[in-house]
Amino acid sequence: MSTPTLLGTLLPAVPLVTGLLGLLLPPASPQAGAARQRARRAAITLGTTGAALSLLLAVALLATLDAPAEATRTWIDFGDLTVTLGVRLDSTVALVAVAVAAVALAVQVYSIGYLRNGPHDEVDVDHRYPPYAAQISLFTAAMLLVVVAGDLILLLVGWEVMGLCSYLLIAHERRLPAAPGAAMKAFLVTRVGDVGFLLGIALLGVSAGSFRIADVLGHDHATGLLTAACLLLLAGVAGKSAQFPLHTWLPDAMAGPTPISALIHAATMVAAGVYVVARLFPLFVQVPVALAVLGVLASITLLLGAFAAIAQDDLKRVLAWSTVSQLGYLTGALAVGAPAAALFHLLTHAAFKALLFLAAGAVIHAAGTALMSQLGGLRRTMPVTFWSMLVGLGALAGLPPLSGFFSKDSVLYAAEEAARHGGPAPAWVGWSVWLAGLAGVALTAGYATRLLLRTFFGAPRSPLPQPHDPPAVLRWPVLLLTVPAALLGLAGFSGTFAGWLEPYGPATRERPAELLPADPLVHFGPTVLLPLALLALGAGLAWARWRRDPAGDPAVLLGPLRPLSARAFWLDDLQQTLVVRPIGRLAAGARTADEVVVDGAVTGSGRVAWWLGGGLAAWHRATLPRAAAGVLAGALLIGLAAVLIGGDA
Amino acid sequence: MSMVQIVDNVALLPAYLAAGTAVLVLLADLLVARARVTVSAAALGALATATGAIFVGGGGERRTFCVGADCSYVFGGRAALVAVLVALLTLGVLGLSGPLLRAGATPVGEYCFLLAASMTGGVALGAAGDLITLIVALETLTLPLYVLVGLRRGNLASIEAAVTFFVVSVVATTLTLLGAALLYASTGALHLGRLGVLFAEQPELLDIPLTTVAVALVVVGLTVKVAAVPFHAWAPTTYDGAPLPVAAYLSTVSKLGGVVALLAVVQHALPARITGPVLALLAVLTMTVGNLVALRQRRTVRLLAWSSVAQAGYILAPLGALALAAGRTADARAAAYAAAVAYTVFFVLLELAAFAAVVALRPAGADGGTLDELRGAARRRPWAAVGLALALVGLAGLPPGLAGLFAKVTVVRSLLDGGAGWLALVVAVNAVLGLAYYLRVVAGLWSTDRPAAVPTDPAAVRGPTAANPVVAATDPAAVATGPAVVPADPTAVLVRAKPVAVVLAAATVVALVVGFAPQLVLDLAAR
Repeated sequence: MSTPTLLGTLLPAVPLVTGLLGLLLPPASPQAGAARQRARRAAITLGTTGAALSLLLAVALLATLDAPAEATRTWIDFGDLTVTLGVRLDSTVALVAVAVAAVALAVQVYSIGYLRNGPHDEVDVDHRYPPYAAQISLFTAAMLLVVVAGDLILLLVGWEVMGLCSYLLIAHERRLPAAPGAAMKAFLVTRVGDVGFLLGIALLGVSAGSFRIADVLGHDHATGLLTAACLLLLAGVAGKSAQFPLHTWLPDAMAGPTPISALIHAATMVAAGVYVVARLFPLFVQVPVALAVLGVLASITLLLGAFAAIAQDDLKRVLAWSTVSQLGYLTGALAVGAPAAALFHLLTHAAFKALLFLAAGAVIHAAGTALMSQLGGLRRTMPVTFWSMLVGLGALAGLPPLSGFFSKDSVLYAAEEAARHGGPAPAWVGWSVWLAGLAGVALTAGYATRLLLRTFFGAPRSPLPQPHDPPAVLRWPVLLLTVPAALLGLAGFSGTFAGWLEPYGPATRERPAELLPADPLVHFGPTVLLPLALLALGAGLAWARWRRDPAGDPAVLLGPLRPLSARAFWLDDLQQTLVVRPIGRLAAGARTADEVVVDGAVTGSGRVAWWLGGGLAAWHRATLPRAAAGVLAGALLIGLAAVLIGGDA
Repeated sequence: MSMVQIVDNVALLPAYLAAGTAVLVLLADLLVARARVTVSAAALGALATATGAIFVGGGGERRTFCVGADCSYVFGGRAALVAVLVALLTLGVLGLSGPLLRAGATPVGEYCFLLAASMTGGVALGAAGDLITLIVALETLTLPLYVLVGLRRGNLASIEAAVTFFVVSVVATTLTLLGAALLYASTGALHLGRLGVLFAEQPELLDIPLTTVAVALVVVGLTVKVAAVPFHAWAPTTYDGAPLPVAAYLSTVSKLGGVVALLAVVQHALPARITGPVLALLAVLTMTVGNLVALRQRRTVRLLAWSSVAQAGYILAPLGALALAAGRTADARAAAYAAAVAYTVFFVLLELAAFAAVVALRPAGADGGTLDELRGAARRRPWAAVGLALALVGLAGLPPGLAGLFAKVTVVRSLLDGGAGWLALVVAVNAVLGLAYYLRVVAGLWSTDRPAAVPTDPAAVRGPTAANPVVAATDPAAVATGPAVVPADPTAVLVRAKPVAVVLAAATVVALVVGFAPQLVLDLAAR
């Protein structure tokens, strides 16, 4: 086993082991003092060690990997179908793994300070810290497994474990009445997509006769089958990556602790769907229909998310909807045939969204509320948080020279190219993604400015008298994350970096990737002025409205559309009416059928068995005479039967 | 024909050792008259017998008492396996007997002597090469048990159990002897191998109804020993009336003896055309009736007795595949015999563990009591309860009792290979029925709804029936067993329970080990 494959194998294994060990720690009862502290300390050590080690491994992998590598072991051989366990490594894997591990480490460290007794908490928030930290480790391990997996079965395992961990972590805050429902919603909605994902994987595996990604990509699939498989896979991707119409779980998942939101939105879960499409992109390129569907979904998701973010009052919900919108950019880039641009934006988004959530957590920690109507004026009392947040929001809105500007520009450039010159998908898909993306820039700038103004400027509306910058354990992860959030975009100028994101390259026809270095991801053309102008427009409108009434909400600009935005087009209610209620009724019917018909048959046969047993037992009361009679009668009958029947058999 | 035979004494060594144990125990009891010495002598003898059997069995097949090519005593791989199992199970039962013997109602010397004598029969049984040796060995195994069952002084249920067992068993032996005599009358042969050759060479022998009846009678007589329905009615009463260790012996060694005898005649001597259908019918009846009645049992030992009736059905089931032509090919037959032996080995292990756990969970010297008395036992004796749970789950055939799972899989696979899919289906349905009562007992062990009314500490309670009059009154047998003698010193109980714990642990560990490495047993069984 070469060094890179060993590193790649260890990458998910290390957090998995620390996570499983962490689950063995006692989930300390609230009253036990010293034992609880010991368990908490052990959980902290395990969690941070696991994340730090995986970060080291990922960096080492990035450093040592010079060519794509693969290692495979056969697990089960079902005749003509082989299931293997293996890793498939290239520089994209290493980059994404670094991002995942870095965010995981930041979250583990941040959680130490976030989940402990604050000055205004009457109730313990950390009494279940050991399982919490262990679940984060498992979550990280599952995402890293998805990242390095060399075959689809292993990928599916990581995919499903992530679903489970997200359920557990979103429901962590038991005091919150919304938490269990949100967790259940996240689990069920992603589950719906996962069914398609599973079927898609099965189709591909059976068609190729192997689940190895290399074999699946190399096999010449029938067109119809490939179309079906890609569309099925997209269902899973839409679930995990919160694409319309399966996006509804993501804003509700804000019920989880804030560090978990950072983890879900930045590094794991939502990134997984995009990553899998990029991983299997050679298949999607062959199916324009699937790319077109993806493009339409991306455009809708992008606009929907951005529009819904404008009128939210909850700080975290704004960020959640902004994730939905940014995911639209990611899938849009995939749809127009630019996986490298998608991965670029994935990485920058991981950096600035983790930063934003952790900074928002600091605000909530200090102010005791997440509602912007009760915040304001925090600029002077929380300067560190303010400047970090400013960097994050600037990157989100695409303000040059912060990272988001370059990655978003590369996405828009790819969409424009596809719209003008065509790509793997039809040209109208390019137009749709490009126009939606441009509109999204203005909307993003609008809600980012609104968030900044409502939280940090104006008169303080906070219920707590003295909000202050958070302690060091919260501050440092935030500060360190500002570095990639600000600077990662500059990497887009480097051709090497672009080559890392496109290890196999679009090198099939015109351009053999080995010969030429890849083009840099950042392109400056005249069209780059267009998003900048839109950015200024969006930010300027929000700012102008705020100037007129610093206490008011810039969202009043929307006028009669405001409730539409606040309720996100009533899609949740639509889902409730069209999906949840009918299914609930169907479930009630199925339950009745099960209880009356199936259970009836079962308990009926059980009762018959019970009754028969009773009868037979009664016969055995008078033992000796009946036992002797039984023996003699049995011998007689069996002897007779043997003579009459058995001889001829 | 020379009238002087050369006797291969090495082949007889395990039997000598077993018989020597019996004599040694008798002498030890007479000369030293200390319970500890007597029991130790019996245990050492059992160990020596097992060692001797391994030693002799490792050296290839040995035959003696031969007339021409036919030998009356054949000590091969199967015989060695049986002898080792019988000796070790006897050792296990001796370990379980501590509490009973210290309770004082049972004479130690007689108890150990009878057990050793019975073991001698078991050791010789596996090597039997003709019908007479077979029946004599089986009777040597059974005869001491009549006395052992009724050995508790002044206990009415014990006496009733002994009489029932005696009468039914004697009737069964009569049937077997009658069958053997008729067989001799129609074929002129008694050696198992010769009978097999005769039936193969002269199929017209079976046209005589007398031969058919003779074959059926031999099989029927032997199935009484394994308590197959409809020859099973003695089992629940006898098990329940007998002291717990003796019940354990009955359901392990005695059952093993019946299976070995049955296999010997079916495998080597009698035509599958007749034994097959008879055994298939008995297997179906045994499984079904055993499981159905077990559903309604409220006394622990009766439940175990009925479950062991049902388990006998699973043992017979692979042999029932011989009923069909597809089941009579050489491969299918070998698989069927191996499956029956393997199932028996798994079963006796789990059964010993179950009885050991019941002994450990009950007050010293008490009987099995009712299921209600075992409720919540896990909180008082967690390890013993875990042992019982593992054994019962194994008997039910579920993981983590993998031994039981593999046993059932082996049986079903041999049935499917033999083309007897319908019989496999019956096995499966019965396995489901079995779950109902096994799991109910297991769940009861951890139940919390009846905390205090159970006799937990033997020093604190004046016997099992006094604490629980309602349950006891519903079952007359419980009243008849009467209160157990209770030792005064609670610390003594713990010390005394040690051999029981060792047996329980050993049986559980062995069952778990063979559960993870079932191939060991399957290979041994195929020899």
